[in-house]
Amino acid sequence: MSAGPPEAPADGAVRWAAQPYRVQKAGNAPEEMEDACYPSRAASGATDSAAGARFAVADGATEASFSGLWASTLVRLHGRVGLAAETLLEGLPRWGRYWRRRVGGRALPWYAEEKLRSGAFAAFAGLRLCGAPAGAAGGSEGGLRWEAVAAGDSCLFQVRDDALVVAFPLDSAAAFGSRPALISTEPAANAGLAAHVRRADGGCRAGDTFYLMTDALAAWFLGAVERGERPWQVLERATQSAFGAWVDAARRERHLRNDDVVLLRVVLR
Amino acid sequence: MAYSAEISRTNPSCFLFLIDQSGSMQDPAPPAMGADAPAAGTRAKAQSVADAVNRLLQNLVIKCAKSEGVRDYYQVGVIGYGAGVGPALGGPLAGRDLVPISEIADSPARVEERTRKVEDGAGGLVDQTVKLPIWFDPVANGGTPMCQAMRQAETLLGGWVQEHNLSFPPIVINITDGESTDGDPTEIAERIKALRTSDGACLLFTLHISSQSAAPVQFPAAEATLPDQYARLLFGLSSELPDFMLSFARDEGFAAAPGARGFVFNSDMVTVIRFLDIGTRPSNLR
Repeated sequence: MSAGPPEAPADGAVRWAAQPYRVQKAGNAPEEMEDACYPSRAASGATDSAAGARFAVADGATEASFSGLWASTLVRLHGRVGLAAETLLEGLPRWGRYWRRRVGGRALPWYAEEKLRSGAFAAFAGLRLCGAPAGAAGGSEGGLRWEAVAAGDSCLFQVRDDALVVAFPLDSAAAFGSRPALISTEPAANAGLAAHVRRADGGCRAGDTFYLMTDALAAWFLGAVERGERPWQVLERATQSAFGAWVDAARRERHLRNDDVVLLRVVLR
Repeated sequence: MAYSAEISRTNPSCFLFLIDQSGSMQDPAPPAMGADAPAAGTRAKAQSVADAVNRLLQNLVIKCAKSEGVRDYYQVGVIGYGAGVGPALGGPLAGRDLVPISEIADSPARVEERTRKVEDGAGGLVDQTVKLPIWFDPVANGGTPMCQAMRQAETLLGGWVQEHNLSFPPIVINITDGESTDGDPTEIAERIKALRTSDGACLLFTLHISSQSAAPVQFPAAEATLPDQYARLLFGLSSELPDFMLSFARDEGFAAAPGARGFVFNSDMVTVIRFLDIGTRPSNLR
């Protein structure tokens, strides 16, 4: 799949094609991956479909247990109902209870009970494409918009004409050093979350590519941009196996922190 | 860079506790040490230490607990020294020296229950029953054969570093009231600190619970502030904090200067727990 030249879909809407990539931490088994994305498999569609076009990545915190389930709950919710800042905050108590039902209800050893008590945590970034383009081929921005919501250090980047036009919610590699705000399954832990939920929007058009990614890859991406490189060129044509080999090498050379990596590439055509 | 190895199931790290079980440990903890206990000032040092060790083991297990069970990021040993010197975990782990953390998790001597108040998320508090696993009971009997305990540590860790050359190096935490009765442990302590993996030298930290009601001292960089020869000797045995632990200590609000050592004198239980947490916090857990 490539960004390729913009082409006009028959119905006049912009078409999108989403390709997920995932590589678990070196030393972990694939089923131990705690990052998630929506869609979880390659998918394509048009921006004027009834469901709209929604994409998300989430990064389950390693320190907690069942964080992978919480991350996948959040991205699937975004896919199903579309999480905006308000709906995210309103819905959290209910979704936290859903998570608890999924993981509870059976006898657990003392440490698992204790661990569950503190809940699960995840960073999240969601993207929605909405509206139809005013023009057809040629990619006038017209009415085609994107909206994004994020909490924590999962990121979204918009690339157009071989240049980075949007970095959200973090825009420098140095910003990854501190402890990110995370979405918890526990209402008490979400008390200060509203201040950390970020939103953004803008225009988009055929030919644009969005990259959604979890923190380790995002930190590398922004670091490369700061060095004047074009990191999207590594990502724009990768196959899963080539991406896996690239991640392995980047970790060995210490360009990339050893952490779960999820990348979702969304190409508009 | 030293002390940067990733702690993983392939390359686990190791904590070894040396616990003073001498007769003097049945003396009351200084008031500051028992300040958060119901009977402040009357609690035996041995009981306060047992509580701190059980709490620490519980925290380590919980850190390693994941959806599928407990990951073996650590091997943990507890050596007691008093009337005898040897492995001090109780219950099913009695007699074992270094035990994978998953076995620690599954084999407490017993599990007690306590009720605590927790926030309900709507501005109120609710009662919650929590389980408190116990691996280690207080013992206070006999002399303080610290040299013998250190020799056992040296033997155990000498083997361990050979088998785990790529691992984050072992951390030894000596908890004592300070008066060795079988000689000066300095030379053996130096040998322990000379043991190393490719990631750095073994770290030796000290938690000194004096019978004096002297002011607490945390992470000092020089011995000038210490009140007696025992504290100064134990300070001398203790390793400097690696940079990342220095940062943790500062993040926790301790005024740790460059060159600060992993040494705490006469601190209250909350500080003791924080000290143990800083001393055992993984820099890089996978």
